[in-house]
Amino acid sequence: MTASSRPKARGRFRWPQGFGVSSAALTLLAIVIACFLWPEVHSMHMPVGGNVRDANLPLLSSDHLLGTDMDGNDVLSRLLYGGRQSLLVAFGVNLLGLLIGGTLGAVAAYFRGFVDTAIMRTIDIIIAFPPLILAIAISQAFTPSTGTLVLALLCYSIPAFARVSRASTLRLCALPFMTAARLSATSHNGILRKHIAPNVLPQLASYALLGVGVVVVLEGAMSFLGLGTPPPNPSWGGMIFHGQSAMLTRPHLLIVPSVMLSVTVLCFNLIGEALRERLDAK
Amino acid sequence: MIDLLRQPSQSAPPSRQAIGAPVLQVSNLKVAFDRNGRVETAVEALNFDLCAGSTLAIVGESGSGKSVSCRAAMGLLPANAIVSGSIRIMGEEFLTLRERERQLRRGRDIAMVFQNAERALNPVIPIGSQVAESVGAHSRMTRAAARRRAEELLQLLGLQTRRSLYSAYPHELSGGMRQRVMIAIAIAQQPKILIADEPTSSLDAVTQIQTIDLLLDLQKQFDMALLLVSHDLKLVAQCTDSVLVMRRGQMIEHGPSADVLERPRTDYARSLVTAANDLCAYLQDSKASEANEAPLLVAKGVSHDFVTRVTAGSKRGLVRALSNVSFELKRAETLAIVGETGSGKSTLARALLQLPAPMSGSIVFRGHILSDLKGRRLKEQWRHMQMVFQDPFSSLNPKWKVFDAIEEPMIGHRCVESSLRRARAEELLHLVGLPVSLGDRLPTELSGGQCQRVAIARALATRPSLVICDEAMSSLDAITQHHTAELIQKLRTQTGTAWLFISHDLRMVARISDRTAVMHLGQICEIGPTRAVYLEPRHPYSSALLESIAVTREPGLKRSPRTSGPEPHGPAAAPAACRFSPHCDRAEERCRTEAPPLKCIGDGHFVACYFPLNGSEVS
Repeated sequence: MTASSRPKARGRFRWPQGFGVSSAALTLLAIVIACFLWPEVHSMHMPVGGNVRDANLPLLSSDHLLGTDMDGNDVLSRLLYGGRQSLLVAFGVNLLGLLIGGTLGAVAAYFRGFVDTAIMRTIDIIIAFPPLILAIAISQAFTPSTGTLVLALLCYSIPAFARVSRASTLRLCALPFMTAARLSATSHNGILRKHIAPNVLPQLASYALLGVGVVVVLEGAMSFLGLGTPPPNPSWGGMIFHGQSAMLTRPHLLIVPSVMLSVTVLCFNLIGEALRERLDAK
Repeated sequence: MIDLLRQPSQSAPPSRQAIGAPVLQVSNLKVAFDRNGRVETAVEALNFDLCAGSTLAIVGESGSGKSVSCRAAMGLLPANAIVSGSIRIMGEEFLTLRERERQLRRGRDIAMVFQNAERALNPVIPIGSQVAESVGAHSRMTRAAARRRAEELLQLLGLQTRRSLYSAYPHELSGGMRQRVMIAIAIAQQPKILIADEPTSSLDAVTQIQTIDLLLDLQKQFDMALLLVSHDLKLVAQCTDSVLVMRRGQMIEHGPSADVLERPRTDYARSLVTAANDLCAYLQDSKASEANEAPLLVAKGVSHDFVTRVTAGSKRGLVRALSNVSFELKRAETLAIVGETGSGKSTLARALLQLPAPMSGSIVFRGHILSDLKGRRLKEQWRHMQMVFQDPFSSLNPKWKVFDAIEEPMIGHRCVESSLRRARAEELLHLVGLPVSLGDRLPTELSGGQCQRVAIARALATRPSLVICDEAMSSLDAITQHHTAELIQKLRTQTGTAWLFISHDLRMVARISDRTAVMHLGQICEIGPTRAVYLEPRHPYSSALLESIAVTREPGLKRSPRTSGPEPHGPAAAPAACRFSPHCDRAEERCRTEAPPLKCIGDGHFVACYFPLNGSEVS
């Protein structure tokens, strides 16, 4: 196909190239600033401990831009602090998952044999449980807290990262430069750190970006079920859960956090997808 | 159709007069690529006509724009390509067609055989289904009819042997057979034009000839116009009507094959002709070896088996990749190991390095029995034996700079102090003929030849006493091969290293080796001074192998009877005795019951045959 002779797409609007990714990145930046920086520099209502006298204020009421919920807490404040919680959990789970899972997968693929069997079969057992059920079991077993939540979600992310990392390490190990490294008497540790890690990391990073979206949703689902962030602390999932009880009378309590959740997940997916495409194109 | 195949093609003289109207007309073709705003011209002002039933070869080194031109004719260039000029297929302008209309013409009017059959075939679909898919692509054919036709095609290409290969997967086939499948897919709808882009460059000499002959046969049968792309001028020019030589995107010579071959007008074409020329000129007298010196490497009775997986129609079995291989290598000596693909050459290279160790036999290197060494003691020996690999790009870590790659063995083996490493790396770059400024580049910024030089520099970093080159040049183009061979010849005298060359390219190794060993299905059938082996081969197989690279080869010439047979004989099917006996016209009862040992027939020349050829028989 050639640029000069390609028929133009007729009657269809086309976004300029790269528009989706850059707008997603900007939106995400805005969300992160709003959640993490804005409450610090601008005095706001606290997300908890509201007065029942202020309960159920409508949208655009004075002093409460998005109104208040049934406990009298400011919705905007809860939205931002809740986003902070959701994003922290998502980043934490993916970063830890990337480090632990990525290492396990690379070690399994590099040494093969017993090490491979031991690591991968353990991971298979974890995968065999539906992730949400496993996460629920863990958060039930311990007292609900952010730490427990992260631990529960790691059961989902570590096996996923380990699988991706193992697959690409296996492919690397078949390449001649790995044989050359062995003939160069480079230690196992050196090969894993200097040869395998730089080649596997970009792939894991793009997978992590896609994973952030998934974990935000999972965290929402857990909080929705009351297993995530312990109330009254806010999180997007928790807000959606509480919002649905007032869905018919005050729909914005449900809609506002849902929109934030969807937009964030969409942005992460767009960026992750673009990164993956770039890596695949090489 | 099957009858057509059985008809010997040489019964009728090649009819070169039957040339029809032009089916592919390329005029003033220009292809450029837009790389982030930077426009790079790949092909400029290309003109040629291809007539029905005729054959045109496009030759040139890699990056000269051969493949780009072909892909332009197929409309298969990436989206950042800018094409101008005109390509007319069957008189109809192709460049202005919509993608949908082009799709209709691909396969029906014009088809292509790709270079790398391994990548072009879908690994998870049986080959028969892949052929059937292209049979039924544009025609309303029932599935059963498409299958029948696909089976016919496979049979036509000699892929329907004792058992049906219809349901075989690509990985179960050899390189040559996969290439046949690619051809079957390309000719499925009997196109008028067939483009073959380097169809043989990843195959060994014998399979190359078979594949080219097959293409020419098919061309005659279906009256196709054939466009053959290659970097091997000698190989293709002799069987084509006209030749087009390209360099850096420009056509520098175009004319009848005989003219270009015999009277090249440009220096470049002349160098392409001589690069592949007369190998006898390169043959050198082997150095007088000091008889008393202890050999550097002694391999004795090395054997290795592979367990095969259960494949379509066959049971799990053992493949004898190496069978009782023995040889010696002296200090600063160069030994070439040649043979067809699948003859166990690469397994031998890995066995010497104990990656993995062979199942039986002993390898003594510098007085150490390698199979007794483990862990650190084995690593110490690796310092003295290094390796250069086939694929220059994947033998360097894409994330490592050139300097880091060259310094890696110095760090691992702790043989150069850290303050001196950079100086030594620069010295090595200089030794392999690369500018020091390249040291900070990544492998992706280098060409194949440059990468291979870096790999050679890395192998020499620890001053090893043995370097094993496993097909180190077969993925480079003719000119780069030429330069690399010159480099190695120079290094041999400078470094005092022994080299072990593993190759299927007999011409190239003839130039650089003192001794040559010929391998066939895991056995060494002849070993001796290169000059003796090349000029007076005594084993029937060696002589057949050497015939395949003979300098003069008429098109349509009878194929060498010893290597004929549509299915390459895999090691799995080899008999217990002399493994060449099924193809050997001298074989007698004894050959089929007892494996012949290597016998000395004079001055370091050994042959494993009960009835070796006499020197006089080989003219």
